Amino acid sequence: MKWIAKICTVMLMTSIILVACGPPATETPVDEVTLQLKWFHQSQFAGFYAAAQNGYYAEENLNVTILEGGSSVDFKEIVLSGEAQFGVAGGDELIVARSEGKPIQAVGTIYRRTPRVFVAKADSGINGPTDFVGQNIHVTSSGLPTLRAVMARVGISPDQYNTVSGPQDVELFASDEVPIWSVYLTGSIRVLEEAGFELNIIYPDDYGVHFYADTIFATDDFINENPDLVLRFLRASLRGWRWAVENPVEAGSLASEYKAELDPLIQITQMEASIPLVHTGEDQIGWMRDDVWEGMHQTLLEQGVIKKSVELDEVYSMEFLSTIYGEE
Amino acid sequence: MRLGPKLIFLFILISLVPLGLVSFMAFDNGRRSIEQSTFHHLTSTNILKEGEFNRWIEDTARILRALARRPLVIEYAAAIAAGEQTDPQVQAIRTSLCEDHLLPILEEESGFLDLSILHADSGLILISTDETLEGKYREHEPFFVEGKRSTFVQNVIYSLHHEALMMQISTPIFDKKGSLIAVLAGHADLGEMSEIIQRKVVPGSSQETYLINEFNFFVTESSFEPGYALSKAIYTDGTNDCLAQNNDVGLYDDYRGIPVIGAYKWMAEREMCIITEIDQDEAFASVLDLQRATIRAGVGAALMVVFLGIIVSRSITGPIDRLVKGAEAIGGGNLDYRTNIESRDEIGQLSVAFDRMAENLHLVTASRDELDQEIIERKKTENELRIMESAIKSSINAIALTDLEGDLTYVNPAFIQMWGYENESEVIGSSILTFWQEEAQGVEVVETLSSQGSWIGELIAKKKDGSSFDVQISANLVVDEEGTPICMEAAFIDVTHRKQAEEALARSENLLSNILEQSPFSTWISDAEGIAIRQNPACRKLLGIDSDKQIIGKYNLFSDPEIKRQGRDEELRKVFFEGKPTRFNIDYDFSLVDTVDIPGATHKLLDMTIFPIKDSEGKVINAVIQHEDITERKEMEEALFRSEERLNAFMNSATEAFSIYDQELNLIDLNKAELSIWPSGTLKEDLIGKNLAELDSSLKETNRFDLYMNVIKTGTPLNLDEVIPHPKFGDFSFEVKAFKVGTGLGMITTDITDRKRAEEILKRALEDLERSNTELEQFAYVASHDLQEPLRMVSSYMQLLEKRYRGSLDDDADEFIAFAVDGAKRMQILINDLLAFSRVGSKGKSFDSTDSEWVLERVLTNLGELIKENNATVTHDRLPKVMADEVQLEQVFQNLLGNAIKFHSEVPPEIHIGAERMDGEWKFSVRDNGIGIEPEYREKIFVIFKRLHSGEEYPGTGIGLAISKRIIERHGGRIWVESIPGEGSTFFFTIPDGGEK
Repeated sequence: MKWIAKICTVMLMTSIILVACGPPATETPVDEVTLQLKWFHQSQFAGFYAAAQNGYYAEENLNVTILEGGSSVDFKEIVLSGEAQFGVAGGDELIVARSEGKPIQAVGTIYRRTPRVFVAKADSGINGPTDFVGQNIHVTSSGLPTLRAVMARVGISPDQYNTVSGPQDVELFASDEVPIWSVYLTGSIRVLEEAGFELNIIYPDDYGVHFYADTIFATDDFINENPDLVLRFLRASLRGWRWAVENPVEAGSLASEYKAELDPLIQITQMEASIPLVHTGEDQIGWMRDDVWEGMHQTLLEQGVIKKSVELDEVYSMEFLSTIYGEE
Repeated sequence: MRLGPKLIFLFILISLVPLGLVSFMAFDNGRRSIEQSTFHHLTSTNILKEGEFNRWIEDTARILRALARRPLVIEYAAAIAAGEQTDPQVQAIRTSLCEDHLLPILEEESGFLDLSILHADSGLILISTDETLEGKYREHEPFFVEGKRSTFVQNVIYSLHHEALMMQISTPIFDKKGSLIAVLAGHADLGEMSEIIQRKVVPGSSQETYLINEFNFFVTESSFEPGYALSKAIYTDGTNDCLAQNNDVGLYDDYRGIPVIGAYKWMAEREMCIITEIDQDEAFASVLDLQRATIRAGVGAALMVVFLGIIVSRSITGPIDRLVKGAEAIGGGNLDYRTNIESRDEIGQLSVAFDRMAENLHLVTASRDELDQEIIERKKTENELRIMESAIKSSINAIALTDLEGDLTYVNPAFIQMWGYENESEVIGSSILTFWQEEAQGVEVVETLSSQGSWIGELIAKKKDGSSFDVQISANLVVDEEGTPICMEAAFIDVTHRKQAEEALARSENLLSNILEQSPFSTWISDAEGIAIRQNPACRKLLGIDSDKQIIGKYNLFSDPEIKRQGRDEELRKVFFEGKPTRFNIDYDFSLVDTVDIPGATHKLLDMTIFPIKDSEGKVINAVIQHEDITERKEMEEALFRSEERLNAFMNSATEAFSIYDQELNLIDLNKAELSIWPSGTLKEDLIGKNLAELDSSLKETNRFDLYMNVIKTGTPLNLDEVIPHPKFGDFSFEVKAFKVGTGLGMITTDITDRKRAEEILKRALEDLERSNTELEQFAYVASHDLQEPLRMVSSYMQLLEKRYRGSLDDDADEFIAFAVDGAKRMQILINDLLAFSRVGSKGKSFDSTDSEWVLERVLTNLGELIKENNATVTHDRLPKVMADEVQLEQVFQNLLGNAIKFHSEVPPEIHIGAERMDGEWKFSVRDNGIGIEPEYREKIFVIFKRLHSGEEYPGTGIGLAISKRIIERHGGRIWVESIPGEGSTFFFTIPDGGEK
């Protein structure tokens, strides 16, 4: 039996030596990255939270700090200044930024359908943009291009309807004084739903206006200098979004981790409302279509938001999505 | 391993290996065939379902295509696409199209939920069975884009409009010429498709079929969990391989984590995977049965083989066991043992040979035993000797043997070491006498040994290097059995250290005694029980006794009635049992203690300190008790405390802030008023001990530190008026009185911030006033100076007018011109006066010693004409020399005298100018006997251009007194008037000695 013991010992020693002499584990330092959101913390950004909380970023050797935005936060400037490396912004905003010579571009989109919709009372008889004629429409300045584009599409000029801005006053909606509101399907629509109104939802997408509401963007320089980091960030973020789509309840409650005062129930509802906008069954999550970008560009030109056309190649890049998913 | 188990194991091995092999092959074959048949079944299910699914799509698409080819539909669609939607004719066509063609299709259960016709150019939904869709655009959706060319089936997507999963099928509508008019499209009912896919082939089976899209998401529902369609992604080996566009079968874990057999197929046209899976548990159920049967058979066979093995091995191992026992018995010494195995086989022969060998062995062994016994005895003695030698060698005492002459024959290592040698060869053979400091003593020892047989004592030994040490010796004469001396033996112990220790002890005892005897502090020492064992003279003195005997051995601390009465037993226990020192004050009543007697003092306040003396183990062996009579000190302290209390009360009720510093300016004490200067919450303790430089950060920057130190040095008090940065309110002004107190410094600080501020405000106001005055003067000067020029023009031309045209115009004109000329003249005078007034400040000269007598003389000369006219008498005292602006002083005299002459009554004016020496100034007076001034005007007359009388009555602009007032004020003096109306007035003014202020 002794020879067995000897062999065992030899094997054990060999394995120890092999382990000890094996190549040293290469520890590359974790990349510190900051993501600047376009609005306050909420489920609108659940996929990013999921990527951070589920360790998807860590698996890509990233440590991502997520900063919330707000009405007073110039999130594009923060990315431009290098304070944050990535940001979330509407596709139209990126086109406008480019027209102003600001070098930022999208590498993927989260919302693939426009979450900004128009609502009216279900029994108001307002079923489409043609019914907007002569009415007061509540819309913020950032929502104005969408409204104008939809109306132009059905051949209605701006003098045929009135726009109202300022705070959202449910009373004005109830009294039919302002019967049409431009709202976020994932956010401000709740004000009216909670007030108990049955609503007609009018989608800009139904009238040829397709806006990417939340795209992931970075500066040209950053993308050119750190293509691998951008790829890893995008891959982990999209993985987070996929998880969020599959697990809306868990994903919805993540927002409270970033802002304790958020009501998790509302956040979950918001997350569930987001799913059809993020994941439509047509393309991979995050995928962008050229025709949509062209449409956005065209709309902004027609509405006079930008004075002359910009090179769309500079506004968004399919490089990373193609690497992640392969050519579609 | 023993032979028996080995045989049994061999049997099992031989029988079970083939059995196992056969079973495994049977099982594996069964499993494979089941696997294969399952694969076939699953694959064919997939093909079947795919076929059904495609057929369903084909059927649905065919319905749509047929509809798109109806001539009426083509015609209507063309009309609607081309026409205006509000046109009544178009409206009618829409209705017919919808009611006659589209709706009937839906009713036929064609699988469509709705049907729409889209404008070929814009993607606008022109008409739809679902009216809410009308007017919307689908220009970028694949079903529209693709549907323009040929029939297209769009994969399952989530429709926001329907809030459900949908499949879109579309087809183009061409006109007769083949050009595109519109696109016909419809939402297909997914329920039907799902049913086709999900329908179970074997009811109750775990087999399921589902579709996933190219993004890994479920398209149909799972059979196990609801709500998977388009909301759950799936990543199993099967789906991954399938999405790589492979068709295959395999064993893997499904999305639930359960092992399944699956078959998957990539449907290239639909870009979907169809997957059919069945749980391995279910599929392999029959193989498992086979497996169980095989195991049962295997176990049965094994048991039988074991039984057989036991019987066979017993028949072989039984005789061998007896042989082994025999060998053990003989080995253990039992040479009478015989095996007696009756067998004719090889084991039987071995047994006979064995028994014979045992017999022979028995005979040889008996004679050897005696020899062995002797050897054992010798060994024992040898061992004992070895032990003895080892003991001597390792002894720490030096041991030596000598022959009867005293020459060394043996020394142990301790000896060599003790005498400082290297090895025994240096000493063996030497006389023992050479190892002592004094040889004579050695001789004596050897003689004593020879005569008496032993010697015990101490000697001084001499080391190899000549140094000496003390040795205790025990030496013996060794004799043999008959009593004849053989040799001498001695053991040595080095007692140098012991001796030194004894001496040190004696010294320390002496030291302690001396300290105790000479100590002025009353001290006594108790034993561990608290009984006095020693006492010093100071103690005797305190207790008023002259001999130790009264106390030593008698007085017990624990039975001291005073200590007991005052409850100090606890303190004693602490000292004696816990070993902790204690100290307390005790008001000791000696009358209660019988052992001592202090003449005249029954009570003494004692400060008692008791501390324990411990041995090396920490056990208390003695206690030292010290007492100090603090009766007087206590009284003094109380008196001091009372006086200090009074001082404190005084200090703290004082409103002035007091503080006291030592010679280095560290704060020793401060009163409440001083503390209140610090931010609230500052405690006295925070400040005391700090240096003034630390408390007042600006101290070092200024020279105050040196000033204070100088006070301490010279004893000259110091008054300061300082701005000190304050921790609470910024800069503060303090008036500080510093004076020497003892060797340090006392300070009284008064907060004069308010006063300083008021002064500051006043100063600033004054400056403002001066500035505005200066500006006003400037203005008046500039204004009056510049006004003269145009006025001169007016006046000149007026006079020219008067000159040329007097009499040539009418009377009124002459009069008007005269008024104008007069007005211009008066204005000229006013301006001149104003100029003079303003010049008082701006053009005044510096003050010089001026003889006012001489000035007055000049004025009288100037006014000579006026005096004569009015028949006035002017007298004056001897006037002094003053510091003044000579010209301005002249002006004052001129004004006052002029007035005094001017405002006369009926009697001729009599005027007297006087001068009176006052404190620091001269008071001048100009007294007249004129009309006098009513009291209410006595102030007003000094205001510029204030006239009490009309110009006709008394000429002048009324600026003279105002100018005088300004001049006097410029000189730092005052001017006023006293008067009795009708009897006369006296104007006074003062000129201070210093001159201008």
